Amino acid sequence: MALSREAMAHKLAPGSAALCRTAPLAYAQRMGHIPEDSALMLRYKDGDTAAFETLYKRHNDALYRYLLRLCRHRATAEDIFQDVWGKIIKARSSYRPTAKFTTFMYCVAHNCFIDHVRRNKRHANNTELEPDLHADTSESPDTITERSLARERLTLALRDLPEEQRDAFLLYEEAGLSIDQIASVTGSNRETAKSRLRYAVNKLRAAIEEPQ
Amino acid sequence: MTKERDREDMDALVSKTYRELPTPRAPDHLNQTILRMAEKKGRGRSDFLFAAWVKPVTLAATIALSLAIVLELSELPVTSVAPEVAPAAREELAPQETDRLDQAEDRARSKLERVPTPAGANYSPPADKGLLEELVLEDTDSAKSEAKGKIESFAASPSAAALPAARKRAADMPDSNQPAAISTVGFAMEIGESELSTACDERARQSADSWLACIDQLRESGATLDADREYEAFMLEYPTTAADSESNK
Repeated sequence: MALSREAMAHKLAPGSAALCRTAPLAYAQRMGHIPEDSALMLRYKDGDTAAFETLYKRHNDALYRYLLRLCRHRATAEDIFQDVWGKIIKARSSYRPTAKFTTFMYCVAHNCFIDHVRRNKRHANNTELEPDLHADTSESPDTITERSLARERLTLALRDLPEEQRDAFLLYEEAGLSIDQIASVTGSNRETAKSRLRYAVNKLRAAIEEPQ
Repeated sequence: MTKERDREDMDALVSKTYRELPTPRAPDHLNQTILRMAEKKGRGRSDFLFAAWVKPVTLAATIALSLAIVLELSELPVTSVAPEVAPAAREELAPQETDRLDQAEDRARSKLERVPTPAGANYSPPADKGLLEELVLEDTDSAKSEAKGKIESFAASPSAAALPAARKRAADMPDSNQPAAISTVGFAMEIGESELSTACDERARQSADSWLACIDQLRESGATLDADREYEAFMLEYPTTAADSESNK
């Protein structure tokens, strides 16, 4: 479960530039407009708290799920969640829209998680089972049972994935980031990020298709 | 295009199954806490802008204050501290010095008074006064030697008879007492010429009895100051007799 050297080297530092080093947003420069999330952040930088509220409500649940499934522990996920938003609020004065806001936000979240892992080595033993509450009653009982088992296997397999692979999968599925953005957030190169994602998907698929 | 190719790498079944997982939401208490924190921090200007003018102003104020203190200290006179110390030093030195000077003055005065006036000589106090005045004004070794020369020239005057005895007495005085003696001479000049003159002549001073008789006469005639002064001289000359004749006082 050891983190890669690249991930460890991706340290959290004061200021938004150091909070997350991401490449300039090429399409934003080409199109000459600022993405909406970044515009909201810039408005909050100028003192518009309503803009921050909009931004927060747009991303809070996805970020919470990402952290919850990455940490596998609710209290820890909540602590990191609060820490991430605190850092985003603190970094508003030096924020520059050089990348998508979500890339910046998940970069901060990833770094906070890495810091937490470093601080608390017992993190790996702190696991909570997530109950499967997503039973669709419109399906037949056999299908419900089959899908429910698949979700349960996926949940267990996701929990057992190495942290780098789980992180890559969650950033792809939950945060909706591309391979390049995952590489930027995790501080690795594109091939490493893609490889981690492929390994994660293969393991998860194998777990879902596992015969009973 | 890259994203589409990435998407092809993903397994559709895995994505579908993941989407069917429960979707927990951020707790309300966390939402409220974070939004409250954001509102509190975002209401004022940002920390960056605050620090942008506070830090230079703080630095400038510190430098200005330091310079002001340095300039203030450099402009203070050095003697402003000395008066705090000087009185104590004076208090320590003054009693000793004053006592020493008083003793020297008393000693010198008595010796001056005991200089015998030549019998029948036309003693000229003004000449003595001029000499003494110069002695007072010249308080250096060269001045002393010059004064000695004047004393020798004074030997030719009618008061020369008194000079050998006075010189002998001056030589008897320790060197350390000479300046004090000279200053005492100045003091003696201040009290007046009449006080320098002796009330009882040399003949009366030849014996204790005649000196005491002279003192009695002075006292009876009302010249009590002269009588007292003569008696003090008498006490120095005849201390044992003076104790016996205490009733004369």
